[in-house]
Amino acid sequence: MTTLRLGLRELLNHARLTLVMALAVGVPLMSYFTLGAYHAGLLSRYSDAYGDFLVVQLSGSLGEFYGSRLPAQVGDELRAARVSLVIPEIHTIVGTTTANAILLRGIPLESYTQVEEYKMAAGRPLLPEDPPRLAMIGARLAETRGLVPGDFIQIRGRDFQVVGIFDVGTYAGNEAWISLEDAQTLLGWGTDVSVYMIPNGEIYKEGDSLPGGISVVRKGASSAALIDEWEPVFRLLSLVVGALGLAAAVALASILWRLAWLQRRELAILRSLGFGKRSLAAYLLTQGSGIMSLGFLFAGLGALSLGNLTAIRTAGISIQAVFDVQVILASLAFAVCITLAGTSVPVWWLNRLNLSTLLRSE
Amino acid sequence: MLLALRFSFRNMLHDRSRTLLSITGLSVVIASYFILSALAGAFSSYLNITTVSRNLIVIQNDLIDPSDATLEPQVIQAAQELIPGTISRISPIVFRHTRVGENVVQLRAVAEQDWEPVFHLVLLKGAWPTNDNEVVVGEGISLANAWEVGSVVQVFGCNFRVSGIFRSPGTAFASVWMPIHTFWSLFDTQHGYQAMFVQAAVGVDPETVRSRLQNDPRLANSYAVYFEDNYTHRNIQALKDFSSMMTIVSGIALLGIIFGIFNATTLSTIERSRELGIMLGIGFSHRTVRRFILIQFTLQGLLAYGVGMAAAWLYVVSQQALAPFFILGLPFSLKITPGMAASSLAWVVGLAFLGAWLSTRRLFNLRVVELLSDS
Repeated sequence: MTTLRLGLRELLNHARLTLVMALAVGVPLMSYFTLGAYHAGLLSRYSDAYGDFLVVQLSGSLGEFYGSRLPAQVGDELRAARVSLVIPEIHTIVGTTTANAILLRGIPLESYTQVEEYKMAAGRPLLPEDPPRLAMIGARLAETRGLVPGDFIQIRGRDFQVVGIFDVGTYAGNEAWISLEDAQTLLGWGTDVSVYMIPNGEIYKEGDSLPGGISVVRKGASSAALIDEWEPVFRLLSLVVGALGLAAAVALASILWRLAWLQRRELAILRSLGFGKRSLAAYLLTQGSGIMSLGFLFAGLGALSLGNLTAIRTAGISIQAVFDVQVILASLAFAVCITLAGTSVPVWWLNRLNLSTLLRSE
Repeated sequence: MLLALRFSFRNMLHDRSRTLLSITGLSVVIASYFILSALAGAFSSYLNITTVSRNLIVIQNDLIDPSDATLEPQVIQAAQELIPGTISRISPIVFRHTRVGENVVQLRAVAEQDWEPVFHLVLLKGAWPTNDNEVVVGEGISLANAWEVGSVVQVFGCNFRVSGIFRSPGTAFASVWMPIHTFWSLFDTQHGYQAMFVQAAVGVDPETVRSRLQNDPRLANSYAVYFEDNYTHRNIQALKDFSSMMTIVSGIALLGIIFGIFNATTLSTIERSRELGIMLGIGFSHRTVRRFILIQFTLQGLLAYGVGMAAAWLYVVSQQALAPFFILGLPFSLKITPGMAASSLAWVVGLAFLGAWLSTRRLFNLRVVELLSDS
């Protein structure tokens, strides 16, 4: 306890230094925190694996977002092949600029509830007997645009009345859903659709190919492909954050080493009074932990602010920072690693010095 | 000045292990800053594409991705009617995003006779396709995927041989091109197009062509006519948030320099308070002593800059050689430019100086006796 108290007292004696050191280790921690939160946001919103359904789409496309277009004839062929349920959908991104882009989904009103699980946050869902020009929109889109049921949203120049706001916890929260017929009319697609949803475990299985460059993929393959596309950026950023963590550990080691050197007289006296080498390690670990705790606090506050103030929006697709337990624990583990790495060098160095060396310097 | 420099070097050599630790920590921060800046630069290089094209592009309005657009026959007819007086050439195009190998790439299918005159594709290697199982690829995508002439790539489940590698302006260099008849025979029996490129006739102002087409009743309300470079610029704005985010993060990383130098300077002045007191006692002014310290720690910042930049450069070069990355069909090439190196140098010197200056402010208020008693 004495060494712990001594360690903390020394930090308080150099309060300004401690504060700046906490900020120095707070920077990589904040970067780690923020990066982890955005990665978690990407994974939680875009990992939409739903094993009950397969998606028939243009091979290699991101059909659940955009880029797939199939003629109605494909649906007829699927039905002819005795697929029990064939649900056509349209997926595209509409808007005049990437800033006002909306993910649009055209859905058959009589069967869409069989494919997508959602909760209504406000209003009501679209019903088979609904007239045209009605929409239900995702909670994220409603929040971004400040829309409530009864308001109008403009899609490709036409006003659609919002009848409900749904919450799905995935990227679909950025989507506007309208009837399939409305979507086909808006896009001028005639009877074409983007994809067909079919039940898994029947005639077709994941990886099957159909004539005309069409393939069967699992539901969620598009979002998995999108995550894969951004993965190199996250890998690079992780590397940078790891390097910054290393820099923080080096800075921490340097400062603890020098603080210990400044306190060598007191430490030598403690050793001569019978305190063991472990006490010296505890002394440095206390200081390292004290600095890191403060740094973690700064990092948490900084990351929360950054995460709340910024969202990455790209053509209707947004990535938000998600601060869940896993992210917090991972950041804490990163902080502990920096502390241990930053403390171990001065501990090793201090333990190499014997009592007479410590006293002789005086 | 020379005396201050000599003093600083000798001091750093005397404390070489601590100096090494400080420089190591700072150089990692600076290397990280360089890499993040290179990433932000890679994003913003697309945002700042400056090519000026005389081509116009006609596409359904209110659609972000051209692959979902439809070009109706009457739109092609509206443009054809302006040939040859106002328009010299039109080229309808099929546009798709598709996964080829590990990456999503842009696939464009156009009549082969338009590739050079309208899209300015320049063949670098191989030949243009001569049969239905051949495609050409942009040099950007061929580099990233190590595709050469003769490589086989799979598009929409069919194997194609790369017959040639081309160079082109804008983002098209990251795309796969196939003749339109190949695309139609294999993937689209309805013979549809997504967009149309239009070339103004010689001596005709492209803005006049744009205006005439835009006001044609067959296009009105459903189609938009853009200058090609404006259209590319509009779509590429999707990367703006990423570029801004990288710039913010790299700026935050730079704060590490202030903190690092502040800590190193503060500890050094605490440890050396006796020596500093003696220097003041024998006649050095506060200003001179402070200058010694500022020079020493700015020098540390400069040394860290050299090491950090070298490490970042090595990383960037190896990353480009071993694992270049693509996002949604666009290759991102990390580069450390001379401009970036110069601005970083200014930042490093400025921030190192600021860190040391903040740390030594207290020195001005201390008397010799206080410095000596502190020790």
